[in-house]
Amino acid sequence: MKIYTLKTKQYLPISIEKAWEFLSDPKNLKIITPEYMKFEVVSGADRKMYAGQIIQYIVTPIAGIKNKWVTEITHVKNKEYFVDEQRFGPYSLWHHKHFIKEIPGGIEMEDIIDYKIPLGILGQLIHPIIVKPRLKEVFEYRKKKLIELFGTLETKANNEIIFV
Amino acid sequence: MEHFSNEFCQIDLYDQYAILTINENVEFSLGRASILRDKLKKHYESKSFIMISHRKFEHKVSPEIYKQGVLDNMKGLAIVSSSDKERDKAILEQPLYGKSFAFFSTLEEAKSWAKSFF
Repeated sequence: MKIYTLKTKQYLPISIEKAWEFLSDPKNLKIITPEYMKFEVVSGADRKMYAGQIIQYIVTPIAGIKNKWVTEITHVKNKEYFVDEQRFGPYSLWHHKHFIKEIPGGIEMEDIIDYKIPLGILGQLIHPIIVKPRLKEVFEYRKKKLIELFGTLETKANNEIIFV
Repeated sequence: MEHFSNEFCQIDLYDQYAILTINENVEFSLGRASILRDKLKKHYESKSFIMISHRKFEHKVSPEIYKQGVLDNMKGLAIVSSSDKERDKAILEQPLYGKSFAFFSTLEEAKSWAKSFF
């Protein structure tokens, strides 16, 4: 059983309040997700984020095939972090931690995702050719959109996307 | 605070940031940037500062200024405008400037961002 980890960091020139307001609102996911994925929140995003919140989405990640995703917000600490976990969807495991912290000139945003692909050995075979490049593309797009929305912050560490 | 103005701009030089307003229909070229560069060098010497470009008036910015005219101690650039058109122009400028870059709709937000570096 192979569990993959994806880590990303991005630095934004905005206050922690503004970052939290934007990043913790599921409705904004549509803005930072590639248009071809036709991301749509179906339900559950009508209240401010809370632990136990169930959010349903429809996404079309590959070859026009619609996928329903159900995620639960399992942990929330105001202006520090939140965690979403897939309850129903294409992955065997999807555990996504979103951290933000204040730094001079703005914030550091860190995402750590642990995920597992179904279909056993076949899943492991398709990971490097389909899943990993697609995830990279999604996070590159998000990075670009966030720069367009808020700008960027130069730091000693680089904005990065790492697969472990 | 030191104030400076000439035929193409006005600039207010504070301890941590400078607020630059380019006059209407001016083409902000490399030559004009080098005049400001000398002014900034003299005022800040090696001290770090943030440049706030207050885009009150429509003007052109030459991409060349990003390649040759930026001082090392200029730690970031804030573009201030409430106009969508100016914001679109700023999105094109952002990749040309390799340091911290932010957009704000008000001067107060930009000043607060500049102060957060120090």
